[in-house]
Order: sequence, then C-alpha cells, then structure tokens
Amino acid sequence: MSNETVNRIKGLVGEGNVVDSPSAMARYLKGQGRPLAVAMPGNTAEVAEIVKLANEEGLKIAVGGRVVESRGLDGGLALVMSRMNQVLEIDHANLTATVQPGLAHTEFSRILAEQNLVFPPEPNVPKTGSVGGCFALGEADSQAFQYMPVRTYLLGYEMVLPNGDILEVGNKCIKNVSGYDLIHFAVGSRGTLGIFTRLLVKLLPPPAVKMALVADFASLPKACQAMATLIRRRIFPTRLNLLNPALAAGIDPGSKGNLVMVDLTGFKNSTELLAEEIAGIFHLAGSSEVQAVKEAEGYAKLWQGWLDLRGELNTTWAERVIDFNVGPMKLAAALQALTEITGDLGAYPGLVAEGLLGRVRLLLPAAGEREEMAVKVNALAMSFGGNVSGNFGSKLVCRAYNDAEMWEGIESLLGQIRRQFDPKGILAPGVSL
Amino acid sequence: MGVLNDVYEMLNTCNKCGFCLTACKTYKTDLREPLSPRGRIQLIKKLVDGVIEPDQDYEDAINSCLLCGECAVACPSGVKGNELVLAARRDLKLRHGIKPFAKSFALKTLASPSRLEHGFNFFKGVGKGLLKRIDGLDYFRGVDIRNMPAAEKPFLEQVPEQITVGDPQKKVAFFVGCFLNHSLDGTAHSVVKVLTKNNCDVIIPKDQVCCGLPQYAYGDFESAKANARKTIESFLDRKPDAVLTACASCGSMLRDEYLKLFADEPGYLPRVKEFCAKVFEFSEFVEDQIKLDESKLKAHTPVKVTYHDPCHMARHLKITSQPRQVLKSIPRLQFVEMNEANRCCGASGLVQAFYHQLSTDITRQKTQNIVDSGAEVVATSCPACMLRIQGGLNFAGKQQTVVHVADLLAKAYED
Amino acid sequence: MTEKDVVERLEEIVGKKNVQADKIGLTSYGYDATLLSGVGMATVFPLSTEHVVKLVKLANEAGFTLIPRGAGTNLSGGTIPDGRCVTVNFSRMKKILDIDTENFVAVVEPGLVNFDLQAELEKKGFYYPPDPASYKATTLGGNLAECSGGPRCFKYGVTRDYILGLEVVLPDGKVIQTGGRNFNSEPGYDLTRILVGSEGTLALLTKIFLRILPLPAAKKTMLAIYNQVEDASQTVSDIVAAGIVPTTLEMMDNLLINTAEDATGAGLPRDAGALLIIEIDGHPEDMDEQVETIAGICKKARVREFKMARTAAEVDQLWLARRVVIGSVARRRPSYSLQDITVPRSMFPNMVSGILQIAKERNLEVGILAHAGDGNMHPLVLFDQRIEEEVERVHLAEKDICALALELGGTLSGEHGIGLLKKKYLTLEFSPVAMACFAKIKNSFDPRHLLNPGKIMNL
Repeated sequence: MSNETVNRIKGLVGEGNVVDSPSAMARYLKGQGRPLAVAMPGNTAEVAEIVKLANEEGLKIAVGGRVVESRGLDGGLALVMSRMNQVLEIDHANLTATVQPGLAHTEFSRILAEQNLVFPPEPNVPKTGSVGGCFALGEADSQAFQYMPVRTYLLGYEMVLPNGDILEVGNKCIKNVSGYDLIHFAVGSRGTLGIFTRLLVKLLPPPAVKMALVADFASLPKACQAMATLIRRRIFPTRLNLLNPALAAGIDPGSKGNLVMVDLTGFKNSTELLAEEIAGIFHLAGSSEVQAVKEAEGYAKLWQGWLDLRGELNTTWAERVIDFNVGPMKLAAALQALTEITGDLGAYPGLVAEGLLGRVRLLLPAAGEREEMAVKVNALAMSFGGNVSGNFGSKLVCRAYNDAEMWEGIESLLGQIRRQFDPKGILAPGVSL
Repeated sequence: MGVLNDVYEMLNTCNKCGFCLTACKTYKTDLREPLSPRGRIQLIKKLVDGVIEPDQDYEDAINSCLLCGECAVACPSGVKGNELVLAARRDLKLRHGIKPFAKSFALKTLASPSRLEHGFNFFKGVGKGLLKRIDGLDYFRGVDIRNMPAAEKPFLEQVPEQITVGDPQKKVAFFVGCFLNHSLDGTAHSVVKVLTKNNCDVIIPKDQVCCGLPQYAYGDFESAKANARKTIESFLDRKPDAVLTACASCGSMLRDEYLKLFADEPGYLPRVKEFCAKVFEFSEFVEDQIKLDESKLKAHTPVKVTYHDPCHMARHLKITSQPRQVLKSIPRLQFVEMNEANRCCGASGLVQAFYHQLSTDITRQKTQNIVDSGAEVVATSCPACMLRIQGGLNFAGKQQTVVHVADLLAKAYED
Repeated sequence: MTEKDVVERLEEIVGKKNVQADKIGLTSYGYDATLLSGVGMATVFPLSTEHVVKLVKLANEAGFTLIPRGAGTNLSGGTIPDGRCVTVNFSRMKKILDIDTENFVAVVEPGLVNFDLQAELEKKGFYYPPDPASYKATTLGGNLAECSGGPRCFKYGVTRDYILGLEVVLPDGKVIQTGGRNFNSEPGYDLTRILVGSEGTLALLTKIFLRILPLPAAKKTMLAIYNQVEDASQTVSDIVAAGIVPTTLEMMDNLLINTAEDATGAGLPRDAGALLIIEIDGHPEDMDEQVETIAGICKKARVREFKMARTAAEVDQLWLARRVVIGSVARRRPSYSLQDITVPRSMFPNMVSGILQIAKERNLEVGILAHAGDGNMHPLVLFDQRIEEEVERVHLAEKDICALALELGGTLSGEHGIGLLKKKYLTLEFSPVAMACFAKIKNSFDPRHLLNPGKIMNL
C-alpha cells in the first residue's frame, strides 16, 4: 500500500524528485516524525495532483521551503518546495515581484539588490528560509514600526487548497478590499489553509542611506531607559533591538554587556542628524561605548548577525523561547519586573527586546519548565497591558481572566475555519492552532 | 405641496453622503438619523414623494432643527438643509396651521407688542414669584427662570424717541428687538451709549414691533410679512443712514430674510431692498461704518473674554471678525478662542422650549467649551444666546458671565 | 415572535429610548449613501458589549437578522435592511477607552466618529492615519467594516494596517478578543485581518485597538497642473521610482477642475487636462531635497504650472479644489455614481482613457478623481436619478468600468467595499474556488447567516 502510494507520487513529480529512504529524507526533515516520503514538486499542477492523491489515500502533508517540520507526519508526505524557486517577474513600474514559494529568502534579497529594489521582511531562518515560509509564518519583525508587518508585503497568491482546488487571489493594487481579505488572512496560517504555489509581493525602492549604531550598556535598565528616551523624543529608527550579554557576545565578540543595535535607513540628511542625536543620548544614558557603523560591509555583517540570531531563536531554540509583548514604553518596567521571576537577566541564557515593538523574547535555560514559566511571564505581561503571544498566549490570557467561554469561542472558531478549509485534516498535521 | 415642489430640485441634489451629520448639533447630540440634516431632507423628500405621512414623528424631526445652517456649510453639493426645513415648516403650516397650541400661542404673543408686554409683566410680577415657590422649578426646560432678567419697564418706554449729539457723523435708527426691550434693557442702553459716544444720532422708533423671525421660522409667513411691512415702513419713514440691531437673529431677518419673504411681491421689493441695504449688526457697524477711536477707550479690571458666534451671526450674516476686533480693541481685555465657538448654543427660538432635553444637552457642550477656554466672560451678539448660555452656566454651577459685545465696549467708555 | 414582540424585547434589552421602530425611523435607516433602500423591523442602539450579546441571543431565539450600522455613509449598500431584520446602530457606543501615546495604541468603541478621535489625538500630537473623505461623519467601526482608505493610503496604508485587535461578539453570542495592543498578538489565525473589511457579515465589533502615530514633524504640499492626463500619470510613476513615497498623490481631470472652479472660483485653469496635489511628510531636514526632486520630475513631465504652499493658508488653498470636488459635480447634474476601482499604477493612463471612452459610448458625463499613487480611481458618472433611461445607462457604464479595471489587472473596490452594489460583479473578479473560500469563511463565523445577510455575496 505505502509503496504503491510512493510510486504514484513518483509518477506525479518524477522519480528523481521523491526521496523515501530514512537516511536520505533526514536532511529535509526536522522533528521526530517519520513520513513515508519527501517529494519535491516542480509546479502547481503537481502540487494539486499530490493533494488530490492525499485526499484519496488519507495522506497527511506538511510543507517546507528547504526543511519540513515532521511532527504528526508519521506515514505522511513531506513536500519540499525547493524546486519551485523561480522569480517569475519583477515589475519595476508597480514595484511588485511574482515568485515561487520555494525561492530562498536570502537569494530573493540578493536578486532584488541587483535590480535596486528591496523586499523588507526579515527571513525567519537565513540559511533555509523561503519566501513562502516567510508568509506562512508571517509576523511583525523588528522593522515593523517603520516598514509594517510582513503581511503587508503580500499582494496576492496562488494556493493549492486542501481539496486540491487552486485558489488565486490578489493583484498588483496596493488598495484592495474586494471580498473577504483572503490575502492577508493566509499570512501566518502556517500551511493549514493551503499550499502556496506562487506569491505576488510588494517591493520598495532602497533607502538612500543605511547606517547602524551599536551601543554597549553595562546595565540593562539603563539600556532600556536609553531606548525609552529615543521614543519619548520621537526618534524612531528602523530597528531598535536590545540583546543581553549572553546573546550580545555572539554578534559583537568585543561587547562587554548589553548591546543596543540601532538601524537607520532613510534620507541622508535626517539619517546623519539622527545618528548623532542617538549617539549623544546613548552616551548620556550611560553607554560605555557607542559605535557608528557606516560602511556597507560592516553594516551588512552586523545585521546578518542579528538575522542569524533570529534564525536560532526560530529554530534550534524555538522550544525554549517565550515571546511576549508589553508596548515600547513599558519595556523598562516590564524587564525590571521580569527579574523577579528570572533573577539577573544579564546572566540569563538569552533575552532579546525589540524596542519599537515592545516585544521581548526570553530564552529559557535548557532544563527549564516552559509552561510553568509562561504562565508567570504571561501574568506579568498582562499587568503591563500585553501578553504572551500566539494561540498559546490567548489560552493563558483566557485562563488568567478565568474566561473559559472566550477561550472556547476562540478555539472553536479557529477549529471551525480549519475544518471548513481542510475537512479531512490533511495539511500541516504538526501545527496546533 | 407647492412649497415643497419648489425646492424639489434641491431635495434631489442631496446624494446622502452624510457629510452633514457631524455638522449637525441635534444629530451629534442625539445620534438618531431623523434628527440629522440628511435624515430631515430625506424625510421631506419622502413626504413629497408620498412615501410617508406628516405624522408627529415627522413634525418632531422638522421642528427640532436649530436652523443653525451648519449643514449647508458642510454640504459638498451645496444643499441648504436649513432652507429645506424652513420650506417643510411652511408646508406644515399650510397643511394645518401651527401645532401645538402652545407654540402657536407663543408665536402670536411674540408678534404682538401689547401681548408680549403683558406676558413679560405677568412673568416679572406674579409668574416669577410663583415659579420660584415651586420646588425644583428653578430651571424650566433648561432656562434659568429665577435669574432670567426682566426689565422694570420696556426699554422703549425708558428712552426718548430721538437722542441727538452735536454734529453727528451718522443718523442711526435702532431696531431694539423683543429681548433687549423686555429683558436685557441694559444691553440696549450699552448700544445707545456706544453710538452716542461715537457721535451718532440715535432714533428709536416707538412703534417698532417684532422682526417676524419667530413666525417666519415656523412657516407663518403671513404674520411675519405683516410685522416686516410695519418695520420697513416705520424705519424708512425716519430716513436713517443706517438701521442698527444688536441681535444677530433680528439682523439676519431684517437684512436677508425680508428679501426672500417678499420675493413674491415684485412691486414692493424695491422698498424692501432699500431697507435691507441699511441694516447693520452692532459690531459690524462699529468696525466698518464708524471709526472706533481706541484712544478714547478706558482700561478697567483685566478680564479674559471669549466670544460665542451666534448662528445668525456666523452663517447667516457671515460676520465673524468684527466682534473679535471690537473685543481686542478694548484695553486690558485678554481675548481667547473657545473650541467650536461658532456652533449653536441650543437656544434656537422655540426649539429650547419644545425640545428642551435636546437643547439642554447642546447647551451643556457649549458651556463646557467656555469653561475649557479659561475665559471669565463670554461675549456674544445675540440676546437669545446670552440668556441660553447664562442659564446653562448657572445650571452647571459655573461662575462665568455672559454679556453682549456692546456691554463690554460701553463699559470702556465709563469713567 | 411577532414584530411587536421583537420590538418589546429589544426595548427590554436597551431601554425604550434606544429603540426606534416608528415609520419615520424605519424610513430613516433604510438608506445609506447609495441609491438603494430597504425597510427592516427596527433600529436599536446598544450601549455596551453586554447589550450586543443580548441582541445576538435574541436574534438567534426570535429568528431575525442583524444589520450593523455606523453613520450610514458607506458607498456600497452595506447597511441596507431587508425584511425581518434589526439594524444595530453603534453610533451611541462612542467612548474613547484609552489613548496610550507612549505605546502607540488607542482603544475605542466602534461608534466613535473618526474625526472625533483625530481631534483628541491631535491634542497629544498624534493621529490615526486612515482618513476617508467622509472622516468627519464616519464611525471607526464603519471604517473597519469597509476597510476604508483615504488620500494618505499611498504612504500609510489602509484601515487594516492600523487595527491591532478587536473585541467582537460572534453570531452565537460569544465574546472574543482578537489581537491586542501589540503586533504579533493574534491567536493562531489572523482573525483581526479577516474581520477588517468583512462588512459586518462575520461578527459585531464592540471594541477596537488602533495603532496611532505621532504627527509628522514636517509636511510639504505641492500643486502641479498639466495639459494632459498622461503627463500627470508619468509624474506619478517617476516620483515613485525615485524612491519618494508621498502621503498623497491626488489627481483631478478636466471636468472636475471645471466643476471645482465653478464651486470655488479659486482660479484653476479651465483648459488644464489634469492637476495633481502632491504631499510629502517626514523629517524637516529631508523636505527640500524631496521637493526639488519632485519639481524636477514634474518639469520633465511637461508640467504647466508647479506651486508649493509656503503657509498653512496656502496649503488650504491648494486643498480647496480637492475638498469640494465630489459635491461640486452637483452643479452640473444632481446625482452621481461614484466608482472605486483600482488598477496597477502602470495601467493608470489606460484606465483613464478607457473610462473616457466608456463615457462617450454610453453618452454620459464623467469626471475622474484618483488617488493616483495607488491606482485607486473614483470615476464620477453624472446623471439625474429621476431619468430612468439615463440611470440604466449609468448602470451599464458602471459594469463596463468594472470589467475594464479587472481586465487591466485591477480590482472592483479599493476602499469602499462590495456590499449589495458590486455583489453582482464579484464573480468577474473571483473564481468559483475563491467564492467557495468566501463561503467557508462566512460559514465558519456565521453558519446561520444571522449577520448582514446578502451583503458581499449570496449564500
């Protein structure tokens, strides 16, 4: 039976594009699941055929750009989209690109740079992340204050639905309110609503100037205060990120304490003025060293370091991260309060704060108990008007409010939507909403 | 139906975009569509189209309009909601006269000088005393009855028909108006003082009557015309250089509405035009027609003053800068603007009596803006606004006082 | 349950003065800013989430539908009642619950008027970017339901980009919160995004978490007048390609220049082909450089006259024509149909000439107003609603315009929504698969079709 299924899949996508030996599959998989095979479809029709076959055989499917999450995929099929990696069109007049979902995020950025264009979203994982994955996960990254959340860059897509139908929505218009907003709703649905097979994305012209500032702070509260001062004085850089010493060392080996990374992109005059003003504020706020990074190579290296760290948080360390939001100006107080739970944050395994979003990611010790910790952190975040993020967070919030009805409402609605789209439960078995 | 057919083109031009909603104080306060300009216009149109009947709810929608004219300013298509409401009221009057009886009685009283005087005499004698004894009736329908001023005797009986100065620069006929005559006689004296101090002869015709606006506003064009004719003849007979009023509402009636009222009498119209061309509002006259000699103005205690633009001033007569100029020319007077200075105070003739809850809520917004401005004194140019706003301030337990622009200016001529 | 019983029950829930079921009331809530109208059973003004929950439960029990309504200024027929339904008028739920400028969040009730929020924010040096032309009257709940745009969209995006979270009452009476005060607060699916622009068909809003921004430190307003529309289009493309993102790129064509001039007498040249209002904002020290670049681009595109406002009064003067333009067409004909098609920026000149062609073929007058930066166009087709034959031609022209927009890779609606008015054209834009997906969304939230039935699509 299973061999026959694999053969049928081979028939659909070509023998050479299916891998079914455990050893060969390993490089495409993460997690402990044991799928039947890994297939690499080459076009939309093949994806649709595979999904139809999965419907017939009750086969579960999970999708990835380079690597597929195998949780829940025992006996199922992993789809790796790496063959569907083309840039189909770059439209300079409308500032859009049409790409295939398996296109590597970093490769896309490189191609665009050659054409003097930018796709702002940060890759989730620089080494393996695809453009499809970027939207499947979809979040507000640390540039979101200036460039808006990732979803705003998706203008349309083609998607194979769980029943094998092909859905096409969107167009090159920035403004579009026709019908329900399936376009942005798909962002962050983590492969549960369908499989992206083509994406229409929004691009930007590059900023005139890019530069960075890196500031060392011995004291975490002082670093937070420095960031708050910027916001109070209405200085909003592109990125304003804070790392605790354990993570700072990975980016800047010379750093001695907490590191504040400032990204400035924009017009020349204001950017230079802002850089000076920020440096001054940081000095006054007690930074031991503020360093301006103006040359392209240093700038690129610095932010590559940030992206790599982000990648680690999203992959290797994902199970150890608690992610919460409190609002930009509440960071200082929230982190102060956090120390009562964690002890000295300077010595903690990891802490990343995105200053303009008021978002914190806490990397727990390897042996830590995540749920118990999350309950505490959520209570803290809620006292500052925020909460632990995602579905997990909502559940905790409802629990904290003792509002079982709301949780039931949310859960049943999410389940209802998923069932409407995927009544047989074929797609993304590892994703629990 | 003829009246409404005449305005059907304008009714049809309303595209229901809703831009007028925010401009309308009754809508913003109550938030029901029938109390909005768009709502009223659509109801009028549906009445003409025969879709609805003129029932009580319809009349409430039409009669609760403040006629403040803000919707006309806001309308991108140039539809004048206040004029359409006026036509609808005329239509109602033609259908069945003015209802209810209390309103018709009030309008008749206003139209007749003798009845009006009896009314005020009753009020300041027995009536006021009686009302004071009724617990909780200090504020009758949002009007501060206890503190409502009543002249000892009408202003017209207090002054001679003609006050002359040596070598006058202008001969001014003063249209006093009902409120200044019977209630705010002090303000009428202020007007006379400013005029005489500025070398103007003042004629105060004893036979003057109500300008006719209250009747006109409820569609009783016949009564309004009768009063208008009396006014025009009486004043033109005196051959003044100018007809002056210190009441914005009277001013808009005398200067603009008379022309519309007599549009159907081409034979008489030239006479009306002659009259209208002579009509000036107080601060307009002071600023534009006579040169205010600022050096003659004396400083008194410093005072912080804000200005309330009466609807008839801001949107009908379109006089907004002159009263502010007058105020700013007074020594040691600090002028501050309030938020929404030109929005209706809620008085609007009989609306305050018949839709008092709505009117009171609107007044409350006005008094709040006054308090927020930090002013100690509110100056304005309409006695109806003065009484309404003072009542509202008293009701809210606020210390601010309301005066006429003329009162502040007259004070600057005191030694 | 009879209609009378329903009204009594409604009065029990919200109190007598918050229910309107008389003839005048029914008439007054039967229309919006379109030519459509209908009649329901009653209009009810809830004052709290609790009221809304009770209304929803009553609707389930008594078997009537609910039509959410704000100020009723929508241009799509989205609030037209029909038969056994109750209009839920949110305009009395208008509290500002919180303005947190330090964390860029405002929390409001849905009946709050956009302008009233802006006024409060301005006192604190902040603003809420989406500002549809009707912002003085429209409620934020209505803006959200239609995903309204406005002239600032090109730089700042539409309503959906400024909604952080919601409290909604689901059609089964359950209350849920989606999103929150921060980005990344969605539970699982981005429920907030599907609710924005859902035109009141999925859930009833009771609380909105909005993203607010500090007012820009500097702003420059420019006016460029052209002999030909093509030159104006070229300017728009070149500005964008130069890496400048204006807040506003508003275009008016010859007919509208003339009606605006009729209305204002501001001195616009009546023989001009098009005018552009260009506005940029940002850091003061970046303004001159951008203005210079823009002036150069305009010149290259054969601009006939280029003006930059130097004072606030001059800014007002430049905006004057744009502000009065929609109504000013009433001076020519009493009625107008306002379309909301959007095309890719590169197709803008084709769309303009296409619209003029359609107008000619259908023997109609049309003026074109466009948010040119984002390709969103509002052709104003002029007519008189009393002339049936002409209304017919207007409908045909509307259909032609929609079809052309889709042919050029555009969309039916950039910011007004579908409602009843454009529902019949929806299948021109969406495949049966997409329509089926819409149904899946609707059925997930509202399987009994309790909310705003018949809007967007028939189910």
